Amino acid sequence: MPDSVLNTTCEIIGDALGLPPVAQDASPESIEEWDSIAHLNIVMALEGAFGVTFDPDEIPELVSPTIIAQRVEAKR
Amino acid sequence: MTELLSQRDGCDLEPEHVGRALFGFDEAYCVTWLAEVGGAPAASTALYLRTLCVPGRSEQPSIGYWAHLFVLPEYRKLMLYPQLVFAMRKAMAELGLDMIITATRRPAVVEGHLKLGFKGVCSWRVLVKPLKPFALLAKHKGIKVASLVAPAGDALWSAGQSILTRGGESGVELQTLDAASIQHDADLLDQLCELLADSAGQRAATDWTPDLLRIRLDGCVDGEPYTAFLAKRDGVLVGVAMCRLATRGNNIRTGVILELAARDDDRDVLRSLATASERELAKRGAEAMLWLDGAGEGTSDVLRGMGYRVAADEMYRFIAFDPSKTDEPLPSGAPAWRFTFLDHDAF
Repeated sequence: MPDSVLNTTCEIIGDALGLPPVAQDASPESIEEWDSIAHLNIVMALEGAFGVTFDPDEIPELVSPTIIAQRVEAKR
Repeated sequence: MTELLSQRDGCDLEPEHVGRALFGFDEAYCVTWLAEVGGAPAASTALYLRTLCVPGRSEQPSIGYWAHLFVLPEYRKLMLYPQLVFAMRKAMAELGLDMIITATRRPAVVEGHLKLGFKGVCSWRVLVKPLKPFALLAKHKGIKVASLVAPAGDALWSAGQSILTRGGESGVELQTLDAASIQHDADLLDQLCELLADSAGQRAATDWTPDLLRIRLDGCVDGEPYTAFLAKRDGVLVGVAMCRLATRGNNIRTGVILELAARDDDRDVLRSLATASERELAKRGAEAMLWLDGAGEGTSDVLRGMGYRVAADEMYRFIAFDPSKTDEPLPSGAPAWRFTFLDHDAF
């Protein structure tokens, strides 16, 4: 997986949460601001930035930059 | 859905009433999503399907009116809310929807939806009129002295209001009906739809069809019946009011005017209908009246003249999600719209 996708993912998540880029192993459990509304913003921002579409069933699984970057790569 | 909405509303709802409020799960009119966790209901959302009538627009938009989004508190960490929103968004194409719109009074929800790409369209205030101010004071503030003097005080207040609001001569015949009985009168449904379209005039509004109005009047989620007041002149329908009772916080019995419309915005007819609504609902125990002030200046002026005032903490933000990138955006600003609690029974 290219680092650029992972790094961009960390930046997008940080941006959506009003934070600096998050760590690669960040998750809703480790970041208080990452609630369900923020999660929706994150997923929409990721779709816009990478030009991919997530299925509703995938949404709950997108809970760390590493997992998200893998999913993004698989869709590109 | 009954379990979920009962928890949302903090009362025991009946499956029959919930089913009616969701238009019998008839997918031509209402699409509902229910999220389950381990086989138990955990979250819900719904879209009421209808067409808007936007004057000047070449194609009238098919919309989903978003309601009943609710996630049980114990499941709020499970990301069900974004799943439901994505499911709705994905269904838009399948359902042939041009946009999703909703009106909500909770600022945090509005803020969240704006971040999702919804755009603000306009805001509406709620007008309120106390019918039994002493009883209201007693319930709202828990003042025992007020509850002791409430019956006498409210009787005096009511007598004074009757004198002050004695209607002018509107020259119309008023008829009171259980709204359910309208559902089987095709001619009356036609006339009501025509009247509502006429009242909207050059403003954007729901395109009420007889079938949509019939299913809309099927009942509200708590089972309270809708009551209609018809104003007729020489046998022709010239005005309508629709209302119901609702129980709000502190067990306050509230009369909600869902719709108030008159041909050519005839103010005498509007006043007669509003007065009749108040009297009927007061008889049934209403302690205050509410109106969503989204039907234009004429109706607003009439009600303010009858003692209705802006409720300080009640404002509905109307927002729309329109991914079509059309060259014909929705009109913005309250004067460009006609929207009442008939469009969405938010109580």
